[in-house]
Amino acid sequence: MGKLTVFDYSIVALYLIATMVIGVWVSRYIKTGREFFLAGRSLPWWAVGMSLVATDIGGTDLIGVGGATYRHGLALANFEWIGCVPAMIVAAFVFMPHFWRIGITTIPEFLERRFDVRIRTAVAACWLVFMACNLGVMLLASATLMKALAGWPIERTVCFVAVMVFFYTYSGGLAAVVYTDVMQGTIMIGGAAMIVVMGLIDIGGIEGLQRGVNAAVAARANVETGEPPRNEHFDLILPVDTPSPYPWTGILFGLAFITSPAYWIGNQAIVQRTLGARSEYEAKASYIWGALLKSVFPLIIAVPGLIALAKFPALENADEALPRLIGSLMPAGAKGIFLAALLAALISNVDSYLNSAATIFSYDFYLRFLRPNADERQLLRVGRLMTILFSVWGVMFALMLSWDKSGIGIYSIFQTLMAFFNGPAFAVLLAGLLTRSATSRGVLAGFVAGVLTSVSLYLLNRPEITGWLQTEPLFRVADPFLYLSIWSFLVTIGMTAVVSYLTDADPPEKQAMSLYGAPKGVVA
Amino acid sequence: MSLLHGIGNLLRELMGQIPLGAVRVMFVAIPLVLMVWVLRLPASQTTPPDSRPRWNTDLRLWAWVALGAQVLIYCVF
Repeated sequence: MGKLTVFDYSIVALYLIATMVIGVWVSRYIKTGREFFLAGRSLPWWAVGMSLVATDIGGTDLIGVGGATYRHGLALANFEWIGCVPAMIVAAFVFMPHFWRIGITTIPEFLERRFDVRIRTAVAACWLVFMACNLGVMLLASATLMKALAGWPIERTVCFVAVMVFFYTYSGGLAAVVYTDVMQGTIMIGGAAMIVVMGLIDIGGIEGLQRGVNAAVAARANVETGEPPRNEHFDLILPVDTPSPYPWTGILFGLAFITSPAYWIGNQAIVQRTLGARSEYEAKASYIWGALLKSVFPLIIAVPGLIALAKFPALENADEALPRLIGSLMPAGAKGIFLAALLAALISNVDSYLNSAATIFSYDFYLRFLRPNADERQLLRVGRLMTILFSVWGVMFALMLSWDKSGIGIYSIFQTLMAFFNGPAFAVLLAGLLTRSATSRGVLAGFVAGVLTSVSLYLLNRPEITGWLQTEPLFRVADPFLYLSIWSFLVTIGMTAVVSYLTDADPPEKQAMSLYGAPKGVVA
Repeated sequence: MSLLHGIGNLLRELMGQIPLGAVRVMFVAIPLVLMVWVLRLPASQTTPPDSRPRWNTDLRLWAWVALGAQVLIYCVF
C-alpha cells in the first residue's frame, strides 16, 4: 500500500474520533434493556438499511473479494447480486414484517414461540458459540490485514479495535452500532468508489479494462498449461466444470436458494437491527434500501480486482491486488481515506456480532433460564456485562489464534462453523414459518440430523479422513461450504417432515406463530 | 468409490448437460418472477399506513428497481 503520511493518519484519527462521538451521543438515550438491544424500536429505515450492508461487508471481504475477483473474475459479484437481492426483497415483504409484528428480540425466541424451548436453546447455543468464536476470528483478521497494509503490530491492533468497538457498543447498544455503521458504510462506499474511478481513468476506461484483463488471462493460461485460455473473468454464470470455486450449481442451489435466505432471514446479527426499526413499514423499507445498495456494491468491491489484474497481471498473491492498486493510484493523503474505509468495514463487522452475542445470551439464556422476572434495568446491566465479557473473550481468543503455531488450522475451522448449522437452522425456521404441520419433535430431530450431515460431509472431504479411508474427497471444489448447506438443509427438511408426520401436532397457539396464523376455527 | 461419490458424480454429470443458456434463463427468471409477485402485492403492504401515499413511498417501485437491475445484469453478463 506504500508509505503513509501524517495526513493519512490524521484522516484515520478523524474517523475514529467521529465514531466515538456518535457512540457517546447515542448512549445518552439508553436507559433500559429494550433500548440497549433494540434501540427502543426507534431506528429509521435509511440507517438500518445502510447498517445491514455495512455489517455484511467486512474489511477482509474488501481485500478478499478484490483478490478473488483478480483470480476468478466477476463471478464473485454473484454473492452480492443473486446471493443477496432476491432474498432481501422476499424477506422485506414476508418475513421481517412478521417478526416485527410479533415483537421478538431474537430468532431463537421465535423458535420457542412456534415450537418449544429445546429447539430455541439448540439454535441459540449454536449462534452463541459461532458469534463468540467469530469475534476473535474477526479481530485477528482485522489485525492481520492492518499489519499487511500499514505495518501495525497484531497484538496492539487487536486490543485497539476491541477497546474502540467495546466503548461504543457498551454505551450505546444497537443504536450506537447502527448509527456508527451509517458513517462506516458511507466512508467504505466512498473510499472504494474513489479507487474504481481513479483506476478506470488510469487504465483507459471500460475498453482498457477489457483489453487489459483479456491480455492478462491469455498470458496466464499460456504460461500455466499451454492450452488455449479459458477466459471467464467477465462471466457471472460459470459451467459445472469451471476451474474456479463458483460453478452455477453452487451459486444457484447453495447460495441463492439456501445460504442467502438463511443469512438475510435467520442471522441474528442481521435481523436484530431490523427488529429495532421504528415501524413495520420502516422495517420493510430498510431491507429494500439495503437491496438497492447491494445492487451497486460489486461495482466498488469486485471491479477493483479486475482493474488490478489489468494493471498488475503477474501478482503471486492475489490478495495483494487491492493494496497494490491503492499504493499505485492514491496520492499521499488519499490513502488515509481508504485506510479509514477499511477500518470502518472491519469495525462495523465486529460491533454487530458483539452486540448480537450479548443479546442472545441476555434473552435466550439469562432471561429464559436464570432470571425470567428480570426487569429492564437488570437486563441492561446484563447486556453491558456480557458486552464486557465477550470483548475480553474476543481479544483472548484472537491472541490465542495468533500465537497458535501448530498449523492445525483453528482459524479456518471456526470460519466453517457457520456452514455446519446455517442450513439446518434455516430449514427449521422456514418449517416454522411456512407450515403449521411441522412439530417441535420434528424440527428438533431435523436440526440434529442436519448438523450431523454437514459435519459428516465436511469430515468426508478432509484429506486426513479420505487418506485414512483411501477414497477420494466427496466434493471437487476446494471450499464446498455452499454444498454442505444444500445437503444439510435438505436432510433437515426431510427428517422434519417424517418425524412431524409421525408425532402429534403442536397446540394451536404454537401453530398461530406461522405466517398463516391459527388453524381455521381456532382462536389462538 | 462410495455410494455418495456415485450420487455426486451422477448429479454433476446431469447438471453439466444443462446448457448455460438454459441456466441463464433460470438466473433471469428468479428476479423476473419476484417482480411479478411484488407487483401483485396489495398497496396496504407496501405503503406507510398513517399518511397519504406518495409515489416515492410505495416500496413496490424501489423493489422493482432493485430486481430490474438484476434482470439486466444477468441478461448482459
